[in-house]
Amino acid sequence: MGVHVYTAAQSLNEMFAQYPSSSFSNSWHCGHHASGNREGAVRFNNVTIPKNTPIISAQLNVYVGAKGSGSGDLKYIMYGIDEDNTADYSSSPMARTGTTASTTSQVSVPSMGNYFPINVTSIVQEIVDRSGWASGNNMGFKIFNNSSPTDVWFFESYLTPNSNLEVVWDESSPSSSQSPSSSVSPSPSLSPSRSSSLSDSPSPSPLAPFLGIKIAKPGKNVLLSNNPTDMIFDSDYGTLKYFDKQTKTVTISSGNLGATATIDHNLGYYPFVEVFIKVEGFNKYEYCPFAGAGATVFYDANYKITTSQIVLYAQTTGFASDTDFDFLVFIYKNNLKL
Amino acid sequence: MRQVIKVALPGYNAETDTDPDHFALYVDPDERVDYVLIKEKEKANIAVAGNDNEVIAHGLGYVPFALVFVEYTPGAWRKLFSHPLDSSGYWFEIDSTNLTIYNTTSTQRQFAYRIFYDQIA
Amino acid sequence: MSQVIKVAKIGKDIRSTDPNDFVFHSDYNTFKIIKEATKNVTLVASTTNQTFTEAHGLDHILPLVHAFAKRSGVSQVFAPNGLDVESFGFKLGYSGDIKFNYVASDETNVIFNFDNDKGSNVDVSIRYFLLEHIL
Repeated sequence: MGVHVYTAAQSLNEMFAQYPSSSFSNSWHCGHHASGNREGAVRFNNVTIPKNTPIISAQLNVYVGAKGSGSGDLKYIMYGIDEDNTADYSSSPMARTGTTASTTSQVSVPSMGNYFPINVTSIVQEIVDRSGWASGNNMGFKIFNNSSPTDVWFFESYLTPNSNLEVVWDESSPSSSQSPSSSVSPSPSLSPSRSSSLSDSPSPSPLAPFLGIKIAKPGKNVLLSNNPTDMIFDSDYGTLKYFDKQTKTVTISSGNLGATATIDHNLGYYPFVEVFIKVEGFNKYEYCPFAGAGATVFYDANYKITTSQIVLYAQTTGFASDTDFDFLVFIYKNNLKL
Repeated sequence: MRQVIKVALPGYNAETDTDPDHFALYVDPDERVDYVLIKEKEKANIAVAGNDNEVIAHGLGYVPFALVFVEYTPGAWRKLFSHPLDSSGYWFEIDSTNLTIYNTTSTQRQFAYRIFYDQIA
Repeated sequence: MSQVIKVAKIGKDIRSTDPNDFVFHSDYNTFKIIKEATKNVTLVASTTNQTFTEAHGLDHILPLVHAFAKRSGVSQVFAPNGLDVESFGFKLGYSGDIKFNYVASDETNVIFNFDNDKGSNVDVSIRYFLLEHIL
């Protein structure tokens, strides 16, 4: 008898979140929100249970990546997806045929970073007893809200999948065979698949690849939180990287309405930029594009980005003399990909 | 001996990729360029009454980079630029002492701001 | 003893206490891009205040958002609160018929608003960045 644990893959279409009028394949959830029911599904790949194996126990340990702030228990009904080898969730699985077996229960949703169990023994048994089931197939589960109180729900993102299916069967049974077992404990961990290296370049590091870097904010737990806003730095997410700050003064000569100037970046693509501006006579910077006015004057400024330049524009009415517009341009390495 | 720090984004190889846009953090002294990550100093949500403004002292002594957003309708937030071309009535100004948020509409609004350490002037 | 990871800018001392001397410093939150993507829209001719939405798919995160837009067939990008500048003259100033009024977000969608003063439909590509939770 062995304990076999399967965890959802860290990729899209392994989870499904159904909202009243939309759905996503990047998470799953269940419960009730002010906007309506939340229901979902999760899939486990390569479930190595031999066909017709007597299941001693099967438990789906649901990870709470986020939860609602309502009071009372989450009330749910869970079914298996009654298919030999359920497809991924690039299309909605919620209407796929469910198992006859189901689990109806309720639970006080634990705090973020913890788990609650769902007994799925009968569900798993029904699936592995299917004539078309084979060890290594994919197994799916779907969960429906069953009159939970308002704002009582759980949520888990595919970015850090922790929910797992824990199955125990009698491996001495003639219908079962020895198979590799993983003993991943239901505790959160840094998830794999990113590559990052901290090394003396150019030679590659001789050590195993880093799994990523996360630095939690004070008071937050880097091992338990999946929320990027709990992190000071998280290599799962891009960053805005500025590499150049340039200044340019655009002078509108009296008698003219406008003026223009350019800043070269020569990146060969359209970069993310931030532009600030200060108008002569006003000692504050404002974000550009902008417009402003005094008692008798009007002024505005704009810019456009090309693949080689930032082109700055300014125009005024009512100024009696030459007017300077001081532009500050932050150029980021980030490619707008337009 | 040259040292680098490169942390690739998901799906990219830190050991072979050379595009800084593919990295969460990219430091390579040989390029003689700093790819600076903007660093947050403080953030808050405040309510500004109609036809009023809020002055926030940032204490940095220089003009820092700042972002401001307004809840222009319940549940929907819009990035503030300067005086808006559509005369919607919200904007912000920043100098070496203060971030000032203006609400020239007649309705109180919620604003969310972030001030960064990164100096713009 | 506290621990820190910090990377000084070129020519700056790692022992500096000025945050501006650093590329990265683990004492200060690094503003993160949660998601970035492109949306293509068609602006109807001679119509102002055109709103388009795109589900951002970020459950439980109401993101700060920034965006840039590019008109099909025109090699330039413009920002919200601004015009897609088409002409400029020292005596006339600058002008354009396409205005990117604003970008916004709520719990479900990213929201884009444009004016099109042209007499024909205009195709626009919008690159948007979802940056951290607004609250």
